Amino acid sequence: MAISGFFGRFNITRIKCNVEFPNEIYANNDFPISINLNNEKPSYPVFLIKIKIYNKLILFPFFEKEDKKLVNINIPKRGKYVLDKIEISSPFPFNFFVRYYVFKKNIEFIVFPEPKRGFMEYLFDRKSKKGEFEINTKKGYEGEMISIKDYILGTPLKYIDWKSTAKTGILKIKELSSFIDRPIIIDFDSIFIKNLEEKISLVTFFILDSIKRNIPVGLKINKKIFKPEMSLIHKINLLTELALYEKV
Amino acid sequence: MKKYSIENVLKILSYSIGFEIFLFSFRNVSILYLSISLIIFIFAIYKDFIKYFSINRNLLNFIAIIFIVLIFMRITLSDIITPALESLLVLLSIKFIEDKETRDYLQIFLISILIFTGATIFSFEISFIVYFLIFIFLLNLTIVFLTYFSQDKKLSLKFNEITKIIYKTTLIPLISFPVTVFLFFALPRTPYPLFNFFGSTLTARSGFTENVKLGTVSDIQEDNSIIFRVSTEKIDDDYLYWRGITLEYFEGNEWSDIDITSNDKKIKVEGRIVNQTIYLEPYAGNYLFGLDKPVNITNFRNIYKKDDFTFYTKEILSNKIRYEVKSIMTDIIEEKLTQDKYYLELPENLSKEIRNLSLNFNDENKLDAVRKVENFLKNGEYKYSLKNLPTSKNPIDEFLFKTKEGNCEYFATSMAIILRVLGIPSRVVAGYRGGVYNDLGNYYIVRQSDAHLWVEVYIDNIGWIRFDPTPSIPSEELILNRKKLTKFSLFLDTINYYYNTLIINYDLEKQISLFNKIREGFKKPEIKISVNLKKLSSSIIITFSFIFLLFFIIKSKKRSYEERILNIFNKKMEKLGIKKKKNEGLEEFLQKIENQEIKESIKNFVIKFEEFYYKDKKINKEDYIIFKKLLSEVRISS
Repeated sequence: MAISGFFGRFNITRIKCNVEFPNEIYANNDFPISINLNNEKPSYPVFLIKIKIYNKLILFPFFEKEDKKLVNINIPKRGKYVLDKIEISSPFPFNFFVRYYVFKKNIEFIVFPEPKRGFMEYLFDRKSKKGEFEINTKKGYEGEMISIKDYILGTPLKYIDWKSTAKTGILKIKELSSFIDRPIIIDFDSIFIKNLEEKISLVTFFILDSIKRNIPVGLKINKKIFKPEMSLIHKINLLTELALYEKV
Repeated sequence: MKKYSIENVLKILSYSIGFEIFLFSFRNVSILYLSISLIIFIFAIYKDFIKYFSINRNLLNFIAIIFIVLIFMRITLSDIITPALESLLVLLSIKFIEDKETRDYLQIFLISILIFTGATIFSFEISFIVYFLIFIFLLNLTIVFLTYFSQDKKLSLKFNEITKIIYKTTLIPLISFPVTVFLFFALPRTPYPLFNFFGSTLTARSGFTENVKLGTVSDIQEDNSIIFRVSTEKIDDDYLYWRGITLEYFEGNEWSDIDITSNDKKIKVEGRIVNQTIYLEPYAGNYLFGLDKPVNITNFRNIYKKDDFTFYTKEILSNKIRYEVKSIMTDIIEEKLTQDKYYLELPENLSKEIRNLSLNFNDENKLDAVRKVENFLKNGEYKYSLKNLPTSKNPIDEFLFKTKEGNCEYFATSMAIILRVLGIPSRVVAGYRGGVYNDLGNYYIVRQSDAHLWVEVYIDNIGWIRFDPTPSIPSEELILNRKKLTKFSLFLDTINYYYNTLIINYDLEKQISLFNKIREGFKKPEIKISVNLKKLSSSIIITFSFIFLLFFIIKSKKRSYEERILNIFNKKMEKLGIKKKKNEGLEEFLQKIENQEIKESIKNFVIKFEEFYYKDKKINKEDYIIFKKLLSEVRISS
């Protein structure tokens, strides 16, 4: 009995636990946390460890030096969270006693609002019932071909459409659409949706969707203005702002 | 990489434990119960590894109870252990055949441990330690894997992970052993096989008692077990006579020990002193043996010494004991004999032939006469044999004149009788001759097969002189009757010897004899109880059978949860005005419903129910409640 107690204790000592969060966590959406255990005992492996994190139990049956497992966590509400403890326990070797140990941690992470589809529908509700974006026809140099037109002086050679030139005998060029759409700025405070959480969720989806569609998005919120942009940092900043938004 | 399920590993290990239990205990249970449990055990292996089938747990419990009651009926207070072992063995095999959850495995381990400790009562040999070690290692591994199993029943691991778990957790018993050994020395220990409080079923070795019938010694000689071990120096083989009893009175075919107190206060022996420590195994006698001539025995309670240098206690030596002997190596006891009539007494029906034969050896020099008799028997036409011993009314006549074959009993008796006819006082000494010296532990092994009788002859002015008329045993005889001690068995015996010398705590005996006395007190009302027990247990069997029968009838009448849910569903539908036909499938029925509202709400139920029904999942009580709730939500909003 005593020796099994000793083994149980020895088994859970000298273990390091690292937790990694993904970059983007959305409320009410499962996100994976990676749990990394490192065994610092030089010649003895680790048996049957259980990690408890946000009421989820993850079993590590056996490893020698390190083991990594992913666990899906779901946090229902947006905001700033702190992971302050991880409980590690083990019934090894005989299930007579369960040994446990608490890692003190101080990991801050931000849960972005839950994205909800339907902002566009809301916005265009009164104008058109389509609920779809109009086809982007802004002229540019990166997108798909929109039309073919006569040659304009100064157009680079690579835009000449040789096929139609040969057909017509007149120099023709391709007219392409642009990838970058008209930038949008959302004036958060002036959008009238009664339910704040609903509003935040709709805006979040819109931001994500716009960036996916290469539309630079900006945000005017709490007297702060974020200029329209498409970078990842910009996106994170916007979502952080929404995640932490509180009505003044 | 292929993964192996922990449950299978656990099963294999558990069955190994079961197998070892069978191996260890099969000698101690009756063939009937052994075969019953073995058949169930093999059946369980078939079920778990070859073809799964499910067996009703209640039925198994019922069978188990019947077995326990049956065995309970046979229990007497004098032998609790055998029926207990048998019932446990049957229980163990029944446990194996069940669908095993964590607690079932734990029960298997518990029963195994009980059987194991129970079986040690019968066998406390060196082989026990081997079984014990294997058992502990297996048990350790099995419990470790059971811990895994209890955490996640579906867990599977790679082969090398499993081997590493086995290899690394073996360290636990490896460390436990030294600690246990330490505790073992720190706590009191018994010369009994462990837990042998319930009346020993060990058959005590036959041995010398105060009456030695001709033929007794040959019975003893057929036994190859060890009677005692002697820690002492190596001694010349000619002097290896272990003195036990002197026998003075001979009648027909039996020697008896009679108490003769010598008037000579100056009896003495002279010679080299040899000290011995003797570890005597239990035997059905009360004499203590020592190298001829023992002068003092110490370190054991209540020893009585006789004038003829024999020692005895007043109790039967049914435990292992240890004592110290101081001996003087000599052939002669110097004594002035005053009561020679006892040593000259002849059996009443002594034949004329013996008298006539005896007169042939008469000599004025008594010592010469004795030597003639010894020579006649030892080097004459008489042969040593353990077979076809004379058993008639006058065995000595038969031996001397007819068969001319016999063992030491016939040689020694003949010599003593002949000398008594000649008027030379003589007596027979019973003990052991020879022994094997184990150089590994520096001790003698003396076995029952070494049992021997020799003669002591009284010559005036000298005293008692030892003579051994038995011819040396021919070598074929040795091979036939005596198992040769191989080097390996000597090695094993060395461990037994150290167990005796170092581990058994001989002082504990007093406590145990006290315990036995208490037990004796409990034993008395035995007969009454056992009579009642039989009546009681048969009535218990009948009652239980009825209860179980009733239980099964009720159980079979009771409908399954599936049926009950469908029943509620049908009733509900009827209430709503839609009737499901008997052979109509649920989906089919669903399509038929026109009311969209009902259709939607039933759809949920149907999907959920089919999830169980078509996947052969059993609906348990909790699911049943959920289904009931789902159905209660079905209604038409009016």
